[in-house]
Amino acid sequence: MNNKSLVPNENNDAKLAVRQNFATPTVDIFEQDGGLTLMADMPGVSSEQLQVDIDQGVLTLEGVVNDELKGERLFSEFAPSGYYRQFRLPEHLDSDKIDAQLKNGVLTLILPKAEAALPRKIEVKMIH
Amino acid sequence: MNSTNLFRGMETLRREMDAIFGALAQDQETSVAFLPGIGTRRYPRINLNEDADNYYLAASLPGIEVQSLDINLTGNTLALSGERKIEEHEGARWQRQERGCGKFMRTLELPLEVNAGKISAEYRDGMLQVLLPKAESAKPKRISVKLGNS
Repeated sequence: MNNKSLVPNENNDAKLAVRQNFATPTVDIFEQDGGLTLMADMPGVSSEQLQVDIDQGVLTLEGVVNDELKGERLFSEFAPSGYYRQFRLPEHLDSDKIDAQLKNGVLTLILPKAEAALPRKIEVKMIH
Repeated sequence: MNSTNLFRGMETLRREMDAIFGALAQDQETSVAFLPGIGTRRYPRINLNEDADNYYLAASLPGIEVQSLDINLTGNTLALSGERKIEEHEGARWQRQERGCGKFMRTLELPLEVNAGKISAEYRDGMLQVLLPKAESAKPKRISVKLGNS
């Protein structure tokens, strides 16, 4: 993804072709005083298969599902192949302190606000 | 041959429509998931496979505590139920809320009898996998034909 050259990259094309079957994970995003929390449902993705990238203010979530069910298909309501979603992040976040956790197929990302963006109380001194 | 193709086409269309409207309905119902009637909702999504000896069931169930999962077999009907707990976040200002929560239940009629004592289930990475061995009585039996002397 970092490759900005105009020469077509076969590796990238292959990636795009794979992503065509990817689902968009459902997410919750909420803001608390300390920062943003993002929770994404990515059932079937293990932590080794999950990638969380931030590049130039764009957060990319990508996960691959490898769980193939044995046997012949009787019926199928979902076809887990992977998840892909991107978000543009606001600028006031501290991207060095982002914390990611994956539990039971739910990714929780905690994106703290940068110190400069936190509300600060300014003490008023009395000068006599 | 033609007629089966026609029905298959209709079936595919019906499924697609169900998927589209089901997804819409699911979005709207997320906030009232605890109300009665959720059993009619198609949640969780499931896949069912089979081979000669077993049925393999996979259900997409992210973010569930294993203790809350309940799998019941009555006759040939498998019932999956559980609850995705509502998470409280103090002072949260929501920007996006797409994930649903609440209780769910889904029943599934299995085509053949299964050996209830040997069912095993595993929950990993938000995916439930259930192994249902077919009952001996339901397996096809090969009957050998002897050549009679005449």
